[in-house]
Amino acid sequence: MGVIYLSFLKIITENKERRRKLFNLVKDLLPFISNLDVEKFADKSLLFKLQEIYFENQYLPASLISDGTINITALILALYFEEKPLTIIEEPERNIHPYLIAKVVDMMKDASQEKQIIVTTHNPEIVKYAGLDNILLLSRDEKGFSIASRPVNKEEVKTFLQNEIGIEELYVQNLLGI
Amino acid sequence: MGYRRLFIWVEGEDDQRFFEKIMEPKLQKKYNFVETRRYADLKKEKINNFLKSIKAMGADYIYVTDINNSPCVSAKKQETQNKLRNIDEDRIIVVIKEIEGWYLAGLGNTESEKFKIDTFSVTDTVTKEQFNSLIPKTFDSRIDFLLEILKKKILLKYQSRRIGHLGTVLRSITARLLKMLTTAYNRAYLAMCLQHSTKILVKLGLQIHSFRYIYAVSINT
Repeated sequence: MGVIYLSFLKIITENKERRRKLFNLVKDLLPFISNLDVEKFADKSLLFKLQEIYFENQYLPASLISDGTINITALILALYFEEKPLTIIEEPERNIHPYLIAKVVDMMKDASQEKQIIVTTHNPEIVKYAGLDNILLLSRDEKGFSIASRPVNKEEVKTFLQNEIGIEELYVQNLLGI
Repeated sequence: MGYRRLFIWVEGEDDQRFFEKIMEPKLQKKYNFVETRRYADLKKEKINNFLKSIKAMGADYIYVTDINNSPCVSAKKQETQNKLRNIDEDRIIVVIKEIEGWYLAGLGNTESEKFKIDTFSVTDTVTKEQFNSLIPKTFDSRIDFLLEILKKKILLKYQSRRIGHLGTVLRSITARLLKMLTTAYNRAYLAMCLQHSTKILVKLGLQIHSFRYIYAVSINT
């Protein structure tokens, strides 16, 4: 986890209300986590550690925590605790179990009530749960220039959807930009 | 008795949160395996195949759906059966009116005051839009607000168990008083809702008096 986010996490865990909110959201995605903490050392270095429900009084240091758990914690910090009006997240699905993607997207939609969130992805599950209205497709035209289009405006896409071919299947079949 | 599995099919995330935090712990007393899964983003054929597989493995399931704009519970169940050929009528639970009402059901004056929201004696007409409009400004996340309500409900259940027999007696008296206050029409509606809910719950081994949330939602003063 980046140094900036560690400092950020330390500030949040020291504020009672922000800590409450962070724990609610982390536990919603990772119910096996019972505590999060950031330890500060004399040389001002920071260590992210967490406690699981399986082991009382035993913290796991960052080096033993899975990338997925760290990514999810950082994602929640970015979505809910960054006060900038725009948050851009690149491929949030990395290291996350497909089953959790729906909850991650739900949190993105929740956080987007307060600010603009832009997500880049190649993951069909993210495409599925984002919803057609929220998808901007980036592709290249015949001259090699990037173009952005909205699949929601395409009648062909709506026809596929009416025949129960899901958005994610259209994406996998490369038909969203038809 | 062999290994008993129960699959709970709910529509979306909010339904899943409620069932995982409130209902699963109760049902885990009767089943070795209880899992709540979402169906909103699954195609009909896939849901049918899941139901077929669940029945083939000898497991139980319930399918929870909002009543939405259906005129009555029976109509909603029929609509669901028309959509899913492998579903059994007695496994369908119809939420009146939407799951947000269940979140609010049972929150008393003290809890409502802490959240700075109105107290609802009846929550079966609460819609998602109404629920969203009463989220306090201190919560900038709807998910955070839902999770806090669930934490309060779990605490209330714990306190209720501690009260024990007194709690049961109080709930029984309250239920009787409420019943006396309802009109004849509402009593019939109440009876239908309770009958519908209890049939499924009794099959799952739950006693209605301990299932306070559906009971609270069904009471219509």
